[in-house]
Amino acid sequence: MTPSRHKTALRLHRELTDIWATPPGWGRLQAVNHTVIGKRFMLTALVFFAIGGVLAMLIRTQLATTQSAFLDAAAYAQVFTMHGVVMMFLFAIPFFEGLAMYLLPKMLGSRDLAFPRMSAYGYWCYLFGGMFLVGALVAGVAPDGGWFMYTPLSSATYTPGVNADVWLLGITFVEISALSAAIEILVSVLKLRAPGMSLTRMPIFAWYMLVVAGMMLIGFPPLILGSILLEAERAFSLPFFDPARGGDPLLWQHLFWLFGHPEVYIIFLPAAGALSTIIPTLARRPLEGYEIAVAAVIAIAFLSFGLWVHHMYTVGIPHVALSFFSAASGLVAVPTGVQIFAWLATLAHGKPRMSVPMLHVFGFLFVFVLGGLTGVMLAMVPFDWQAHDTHFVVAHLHYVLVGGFVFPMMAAAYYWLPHIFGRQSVQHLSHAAFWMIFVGFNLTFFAMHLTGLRGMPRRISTYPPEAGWETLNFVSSMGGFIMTTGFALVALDFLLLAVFGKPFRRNPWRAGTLEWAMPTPPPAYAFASLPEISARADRLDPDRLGPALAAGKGYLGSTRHGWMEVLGVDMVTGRAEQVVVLPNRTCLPLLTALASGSVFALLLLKLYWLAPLALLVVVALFLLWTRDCGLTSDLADLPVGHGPNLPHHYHAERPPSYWAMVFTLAADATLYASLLFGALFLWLSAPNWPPGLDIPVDAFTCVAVVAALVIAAAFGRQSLSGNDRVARSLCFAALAYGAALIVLVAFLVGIHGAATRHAAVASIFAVKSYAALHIAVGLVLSLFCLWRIGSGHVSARRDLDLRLGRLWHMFTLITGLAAMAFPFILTLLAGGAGP
Amino acid sequence: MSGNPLFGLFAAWIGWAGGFLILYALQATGCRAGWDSHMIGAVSTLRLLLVATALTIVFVLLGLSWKARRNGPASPLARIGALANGAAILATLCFAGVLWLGMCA
Repeated sequence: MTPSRHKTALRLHRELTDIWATPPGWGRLQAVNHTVIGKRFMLTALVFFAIGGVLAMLIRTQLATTQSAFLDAAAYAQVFTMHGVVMMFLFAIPFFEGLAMYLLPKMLGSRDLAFPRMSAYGYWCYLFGGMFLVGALVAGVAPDGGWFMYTPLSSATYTPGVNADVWLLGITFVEISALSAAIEILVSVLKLRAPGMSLTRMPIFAWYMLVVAGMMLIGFPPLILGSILLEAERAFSLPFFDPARGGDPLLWQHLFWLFGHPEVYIIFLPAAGALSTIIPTLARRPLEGYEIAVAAVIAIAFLSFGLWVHHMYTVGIPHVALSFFSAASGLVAVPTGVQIFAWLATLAHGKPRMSVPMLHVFGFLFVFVLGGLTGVMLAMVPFDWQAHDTHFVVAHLHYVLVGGFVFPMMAAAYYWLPHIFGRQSVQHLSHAAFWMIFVGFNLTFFAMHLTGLRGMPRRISTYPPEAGWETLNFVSSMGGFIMTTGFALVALDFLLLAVFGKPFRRNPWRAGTLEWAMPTPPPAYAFASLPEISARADRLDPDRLGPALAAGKGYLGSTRHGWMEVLGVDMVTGRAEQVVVLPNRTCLPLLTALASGSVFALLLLKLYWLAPLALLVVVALFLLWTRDCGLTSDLADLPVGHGPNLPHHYHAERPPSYWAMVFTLAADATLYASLLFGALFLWLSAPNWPPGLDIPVDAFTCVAVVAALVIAAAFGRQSLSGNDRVARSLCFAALAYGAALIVLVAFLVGIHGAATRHAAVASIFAVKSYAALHIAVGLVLSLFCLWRIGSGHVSARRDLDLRLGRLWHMFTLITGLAAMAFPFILTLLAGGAGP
Repeated sequence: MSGNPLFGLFAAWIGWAGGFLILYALQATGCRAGWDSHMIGAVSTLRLLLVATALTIVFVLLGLSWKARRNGPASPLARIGALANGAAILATLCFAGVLWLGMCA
C-alpha cells in the first residue's frame, strides 16, 4: 500500500470506527454490531454447552452401575430433561445463529445484518430465557417430562408444579430469539450483499443459511403454538390435550415433531454449510458439484418436513400413512449422501492439508455416516417398532447430532478462531483433544446401540443387575468421561489460542471467501468500502481485495452524516438498488428483552392480570425503536462511489423491512395453519366427539367483525391513494379495528366457561383469540402510522410505514375471515360426523 | 415460474409438500368418514381418491418442471431449479403406498 493510500485507509478507519464501534464499559449494553452479537451468542452457547455436558456426566454416573443411588428418580428426570433442553435449545441453535451472524455479513461483502437491533434483542431474549431454565434447575423446579414434554405427563394433572411451565414459557421466550434470527438471516442474505453478487455467486455457506432460515420460519411456529396451547390448558383448563374433554395427547406430538424433526436438519445444515466452506479451502480446490449441492440442500429442507411422524410410528397410525413418512425418511438420505459425496470428491481431487480442522472433518465423516445409517434403519417401520424408546435411538440421535453438528463446529472453530482473535492455534493440545473426543464419543455411544438392542429403555434412572446391561453401561460412562476430558482440553486450547496464539498477517488458510479480505480481528464496520463481485464469492483473492477495500476504493468508501450505511441489492441478480441506513446502538433491545422477560415471568408466577400490562410496556418499547428511524424530508438519490446514485431505503420500493414483514407474516400464517390443523385433527381423531354441548356460533359477532375488518382493510389500502386523505383513512381503520376488538373480546368472555368443557369450544376460543390479537396489532399499527404522519415521517415518496401497515391489514382480513367462518365449519363437521 | 426466479427454485418442492399434506389429510378424513369400506368395483373409494390425487400431484410437478425448462434461460439458477424440480418429482415415490397398503389399519 502506498503512503497516501495508507493515510486514506487510516482516516477512513477512524471515521468508520466512530460510527460503528461499540463503546466500552456500560456502553457494551448498547451493542448491536453483528460481530459483537455473534460472538456473544457463540460464547453464551458454549457456556450452556458446558452446563449440558455436566448434566450428561451426571446421567452417565447414575447409569454406570446397576441400582445406583447417586440420583433419585425425580432429580434424574430433571437432569435428563434439562440435558436435552440445554443441548438442543440453548446450545446448538444459538451457536450456529451466532456463527451465522458473525460470518454472513463478512462473507456477503456487507457491513452488518439487516436489523442489528433485532439481533441484539434476540440475544438478550436467548440469554434471559436460558437463565430462566438453568435457574429453575438450580432451584430444583426444572422441567422433568423429557425434552419433548409429552402430554398427558406434562399436563396439570400429572405435573402440577411449575416444572412444565418453565419449559413452555422459557422455550417460547428462547424461540422469539430463533425466529428473529431467522428473519434477520433471510433478509440479510437476500438483500444485503455486495453489488454483483448474484444468488449463484454467493458463497455456499450463505445458501445453507438461507435454506435453514426458511426452515426455521416454518418449523418453529408449530412448537410455539403447541407451547401456547399446552400452557393454556395448564393455566386456564382449555382441554386441547385432554381426551376426556375432546382433546388428544397426540396433537402435542404432531405439533412438537412438526418442529422437532426439521430441527435436526436445522442443526445439521449450518454445520454442513461450514464444511462446504472449509473442505474446499483445505483441499485447495473448489467444491465439486456446487449446483447439485444447492439443489440437495433444498431437497433436504422440504423432505425434512415430511418426516415428523417417524417419531410416532408406534401410536397406531394406518399403514398407508406410515408409508409416506417412512419413504420420506429413507429418501432424505439421498440428498444428504449427495453432499457427502461432493465433499469426498473435493477431497479426492484436491491436495488436502492435514490440519486440525481437517481432523475434525474426518471425525464428522466417520460419526455422521454411521448415524445416518442407523437413521435409515430407524426409518423402516418394523425395525423402529422394535427399537422405539430404547437406548438404540439415543445412540442414533447422538451420532447424528454430535457427528453432524459438534465435529463440524469444532472444525469451524479451529478454522475461524484465527479470524476472531487474529491469532493462530499453537496446537499443543489440539490433536490430543480431538482423539479423546473421538474415542470417548464412540465408546459412549457405540456401546449404547448394544444396550438399546438388548432392550434398555430410555429415561430410566436405574436397572436391575439381572438385565445384563451393566458392563455396556459402564463402558458408555467411561467413554463419556474421556470425551468430557477431551472437551475440557479443547476449551483450554481455545484459551491458549486467544492468549498465546501466533499472530498472522491475513488469510492464514489461503481461502477465497470475503471474510478474509479484512483485518483480523475484524473492525466493527467489517469493510471500509464494499467490493464489486464479478465471480463466485468463494474463488476471490482476499489478499488483493483487502488493501483496496481498506483504502476506500470500493462502494460507500466514505462516511455521510454519521450514518451506518450498507448497500441493498436485487435478490436474484445482486444489482445495487438502494442505500440501506441501519439504526445505531441503543439500550432499547436490552430494555425490551427485559420487559418481554417480565411477561413470561409474570405468567410463570401466575400473575395473569399483570402480564398484559407488561405486554403494553413491550409494545411501547418497540414503538420507541422507531423514534430515530426513517426520514422527515425527501432525499435525492445518494452517491455510492461507483455507478449511478441510489435511493435511500425509505425511498426504495422493496427495502429490507418490507421483506421482514413478509417473512414475519409467513411465520404467522404457519402458526395459524397449525392451529386450524390442530382443531381439525381433534375433530378427526380425538375421543368424545361430537361434543355434548352446543358449539357457540354467534352470527352477529361474525358479521360485525367481518364488516369491521373489511372496512379497516379498505381504509388501510385507501391510505396509499393520496396523502391528504391518509390520516382520515387511518382514523376510520383504527375505529373499525376498535369496534371489531370490542365485539370479539365480548364474545370470548362469553364462551370462556364452555371452552373449558370441550376442546371444540376451546378450539374456537383459540382461533378467535388469534383474530383478536391481530386486530389489536392492526389497531396499534393504524395509530402508529397516524403518529408517523404527524411527526413528518410520511410523504408520497416515503410511505414505507403505510405499506407495512397495508400488508398487516390484508393479512388480518384474510385470517379474520377464516376465524369467523371457523365455528360454522366445525359445527357442520362435528354434526355431520356424529355417531 | 416465469415470475420471481427464486420461487422457481422451490416451486416443485412446495407442490410436493402441499401434495403430501393433502394426501395425509385425505387419508385421515376418508378413514373417519368410512370411505374405505365403500367399494367401487373391487377398489375402495378412498384408495381411488388417493391414487387419483397422487397422480394429479405427479402431473402438476411434471408440468411445473416442464414450464420452468421452457421459460427459463440456461443460467446457473435455472440449472439448480431444474435439479431441485427433478428431485421433487422423484420424491413423489413416497406416495406409492396408496396402491397397495392398508388404508385405515
